[in-house]
Amino acid sequence: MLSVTFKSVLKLLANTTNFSGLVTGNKVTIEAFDEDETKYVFTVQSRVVRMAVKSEKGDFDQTVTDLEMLTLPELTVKTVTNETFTQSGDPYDSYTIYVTYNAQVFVMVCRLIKERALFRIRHFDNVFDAHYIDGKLYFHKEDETTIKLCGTNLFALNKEMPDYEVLYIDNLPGNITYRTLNERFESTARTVGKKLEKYKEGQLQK
Amino acid sequence: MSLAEKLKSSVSERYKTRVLELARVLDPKVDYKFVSVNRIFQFKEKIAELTKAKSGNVKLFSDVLTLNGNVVMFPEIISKGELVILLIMTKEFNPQSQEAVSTHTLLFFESKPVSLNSFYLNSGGGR
Repeated sequence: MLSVTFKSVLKLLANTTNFSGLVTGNKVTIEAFDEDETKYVFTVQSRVVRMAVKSEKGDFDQTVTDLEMLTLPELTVKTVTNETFTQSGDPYDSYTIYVTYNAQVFVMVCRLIKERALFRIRHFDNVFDAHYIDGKLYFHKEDETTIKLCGTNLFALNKEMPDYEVLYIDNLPGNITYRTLNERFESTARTVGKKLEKYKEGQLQK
Repeated sequence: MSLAEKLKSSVSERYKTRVLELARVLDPKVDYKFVSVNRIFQFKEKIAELTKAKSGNVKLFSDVLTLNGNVVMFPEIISKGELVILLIMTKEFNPQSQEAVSTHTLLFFESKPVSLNSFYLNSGGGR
C-alpha cells in the first residue's frame, strides 16, 4: 500500500468525528511491514495515533504529532485489530483480521467510520472516484449515449477490474446517501440527454 | 511544467515532500487548475465558488477530496490545518453548446506566519 494511502487510512480513523468507538474507548491497531521486513505498529485511540517501529537498528515508540508530514515507506498490512472497552475501561470485545487483500483493510475501516467514504481508485492508467455507502461501492462510466452507474463492493470490484489499487480514502460529505447519489445521476442523465443504466456487480439492472 | 513541479511550486519548502506524495493520487491525464489562497475567508469563498456552476451553466454535481488538512463541508465549511489541499471536481452542463464540462481544481490554503516586521508597522510602532 502506498504511504499516502496508508496515511489516509490512519487519518480517517483518527479524525472521523462520528467514529462512535472513540467515544467509548475503541482502539485500532494496525501491524504492517516494509520491504526490509521492518515491523510498524500503529495504534489509533481517542484521536491519537502512535507509531512503534521494530527493526534491527533498534526500536522506538512515539506519538505521531503530524500524520501527514510523517515519512513512511510503502507498507504491507498484515493485521488490523479492533478492540472495544466498557465505560470502566475493561476489555469488552476484540477482533483481528489477517490481511490477504488490501480490500479487507478498507472494508474494516469503513465499518468503523459508519460505512461512508470517498475512494480514489486506479485501474491501470485509469483513475476514478467511487462513493462507498453502506457496504456498497458506486462509481460511474460515461460514453456518448449512456451513463452507467455501477454498484459493487471492494471484493467484487476485483473481478471487473483485476489488480485495481485504492489510492486514497476520505470522508464522504454528510449529505450524500444512495438516494441522493441516484438522484444525482438521474438528473445528470436527463440534463445531458443520455440514458442512465444501473449495474449491480457487472449485471445490468432492469 | 509537470504536475509534480506545479504541485511543488504551489507550497512552501517544508511541504514539498508531502505534495510529491500526493502527486501519486492525482490523474496525470487530467489538466488540473491550481488556485492558492492564504486567508481563511478567501479559502471558504473559493470553495463556495468552485463548487458552483459558472454563470449560464447548469451544475450537475461536485465532489471534494481533502488531500491535506481537515475540512468539514457539511452543514458548514470548517477548515483545520496550516496546509489544506482540496481537490474539487465539478461537472456542469453548458446549455448553449450542449456539452458537459468537468473541472478539476486543486485548491491550496497555506497559512503564512505573520511577519513581526509587518505587525510592527501596522501597529504604528516606532513612530
